[in-house]
Amino acid sequence: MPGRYYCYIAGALLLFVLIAATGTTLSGILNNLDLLAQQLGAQADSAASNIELIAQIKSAISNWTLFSTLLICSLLMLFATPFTVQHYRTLGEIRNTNIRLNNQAATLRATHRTIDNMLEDIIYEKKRTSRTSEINARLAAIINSAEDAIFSLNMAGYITTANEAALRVFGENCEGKLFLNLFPSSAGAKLKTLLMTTAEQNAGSTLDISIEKKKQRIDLSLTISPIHSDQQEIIGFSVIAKDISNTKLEEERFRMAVEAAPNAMIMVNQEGNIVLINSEAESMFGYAKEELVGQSISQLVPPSLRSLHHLYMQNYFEAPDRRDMGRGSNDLQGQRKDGELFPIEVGLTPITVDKENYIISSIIDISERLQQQRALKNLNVELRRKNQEMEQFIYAVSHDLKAPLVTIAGFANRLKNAEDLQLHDDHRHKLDRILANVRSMESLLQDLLHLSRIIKRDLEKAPVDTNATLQHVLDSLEGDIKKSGAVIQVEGTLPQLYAQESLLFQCIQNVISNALKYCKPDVSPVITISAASETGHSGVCIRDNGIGIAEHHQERIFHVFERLNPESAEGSGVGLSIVKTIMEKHSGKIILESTVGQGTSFIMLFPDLKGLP
Amino acid sequence: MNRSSASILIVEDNPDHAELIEATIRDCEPGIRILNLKNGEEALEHLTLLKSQSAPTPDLIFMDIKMPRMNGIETLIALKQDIYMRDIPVIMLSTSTNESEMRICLKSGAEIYLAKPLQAETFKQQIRPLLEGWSKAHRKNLNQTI
Repeated sequence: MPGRYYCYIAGALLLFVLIAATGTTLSGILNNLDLLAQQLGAQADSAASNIELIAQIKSAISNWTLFSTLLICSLLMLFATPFTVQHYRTLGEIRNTNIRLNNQAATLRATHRTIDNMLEDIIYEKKRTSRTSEINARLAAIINSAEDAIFSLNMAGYITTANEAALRVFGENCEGKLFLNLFPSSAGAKLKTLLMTTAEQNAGSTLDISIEKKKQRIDLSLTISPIHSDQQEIIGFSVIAKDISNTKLEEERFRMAVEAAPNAMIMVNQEGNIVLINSEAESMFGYAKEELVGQSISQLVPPSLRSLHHLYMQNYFEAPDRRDMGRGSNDLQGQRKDGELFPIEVGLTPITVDKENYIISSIIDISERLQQQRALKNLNVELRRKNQEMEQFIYAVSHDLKAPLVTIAGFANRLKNAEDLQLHDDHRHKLDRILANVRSMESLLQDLLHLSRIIKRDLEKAPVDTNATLQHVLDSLEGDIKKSGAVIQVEGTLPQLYAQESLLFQCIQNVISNALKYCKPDVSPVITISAASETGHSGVCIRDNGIGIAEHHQERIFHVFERLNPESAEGSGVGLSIVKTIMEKHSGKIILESTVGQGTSFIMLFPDLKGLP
Repeated sequence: MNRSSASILIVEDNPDHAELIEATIRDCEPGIRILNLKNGEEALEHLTLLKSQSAPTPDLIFMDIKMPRMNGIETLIALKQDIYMRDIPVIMLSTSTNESEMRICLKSGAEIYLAKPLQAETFKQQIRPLLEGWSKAHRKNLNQTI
């Protein structure tokens, strides 16, 4: 039976006693108070009874107080105590339960963590396994599809596995055989030693070997590496046999191409050492091949430039591109064995072979070219000077030649017109001859001056409407055309030309005027003007039906003062030479087509301006 | 006006040409005064002297272009920069005529550019009016100054 029930019973008993005592006390008080009230009502003054009465009331009240206190206490005992006790007990239980629960939770958490870790491990393991098997599958695929023959050997040197390439090269049934037996006995001994050293030194090694298969030589490069167990013990060997027959062939071809090159060729590795050189380079630098292969390239560089050359070479290896050494500068020099320096031009090509970088330099000795260039430059300067001199000469000569003509004409005229002289007709005729010659001399000089001015002056080119220019020319020659009775035909429209208008006018005028002069005496001249063109050029064709020009004279007619039949035609002989000069100034062409007795065509072609229609 | 009182200066290094020019002028203006100088330097010296003496300047100048020491164009430019001489009409005479030379002469203030030889017709038609016109203006100018 729980303790709290004893408390309840004790409390109830105490409560009952207290209620009884309280009732008794209260009834005592009430009785005493009744007595007091009777005594007070009877007006009986008795001090002693009063005091006794009051004492009785006092003790009744104190009794009541005591009982009330006890009552409250017992009430408290009855209700509070059992609850508090129970409460504490419950609390304790809860705490205990809590602790228990907490302990259990901690255990659970720990367990959870363990399970989590286990799960993670399981997942990781699973992933790893699948990855490993994937990798294994891939590796197997790679090995199987490899171009190179790949074997695995056990420690005894027997083939445990071989890939497809291996089966292809060494036969379908090579698995399980002794690896050394795949090779000729002489090579087998070498291989045996190699396998042993691989095992001893625990490091891979390589060997180039050749076998014969179907009477064909196959060059192989073998790479043998140890295979390790998880405990790092050597459990066998892997052998990769690379077919290098093609590489060898390519190497040979490359060597031959370099050798056959018309330029000196030198191949240098990243350390700056010569690895390949052709005979052109041998003879250019004066060394034998053996003297250079393996040596530093700086041997061929002038001493003053060696450090700079080395630096440039290092930079080139860092950013290699196909270009000229010195990027087109003209001051590169090489040094021959005898110490002589000579100017060179070097083309650089970077190549990479087996991850090794090389430079192939193609070298040209440009001594001769530089000499020619210098000679050409001097010649040009000389030519320009001569040209200037000639222009000055032409101008001075023309002026100085003309001055006496002015005098001759002036005095001849004065004589002819002198009224105080009695001149015969014969005298006048002679004076006229003098004056006519002066005029022809003057026109010749005028043309000569004109020619020198065309040579001297710069062109002022612009698009020209050739049809309009032709019309101006025909207007200017109107008198001559009428006099000769010539028929002028213009076929179609003429193209727009990029030229100096005044000079184009001059060309057309000179050619037409020539055609008018050199016409056949009994046939009325017909001059046809039409468009002409050639790739990148446009121009005008002027055709006549005149006397024509024999082939051996066709070049001569463009020379100054050249007249084929001076007696039959007037003119200075400068006209066509002016036309030629003008065409040359325009970078154009003049083409002459002529048949004696049938006529002549002059075709003048001017370069097109880009974008000019 | 009385043209024979006018004076003409010929600047020409070639004596034959000078003689021909003079003869042609005399054919047209028999009484005119003509002075002949050999080059631009001489001409400028002469004109500067006239200026310093406040003497009358020539009424017309014929000037050859190609001359030693100082050529016709240089002389023309110098003349046209001088306030005392710049109004004198200058006729440039060239042995070898060409357009660019003509342009330079006219731009520099020449009145006329002619190819040699000087023709009487040209003188009568182009130069005589010039002589009269300038003389009138010159005289008027002088009167005003007085």
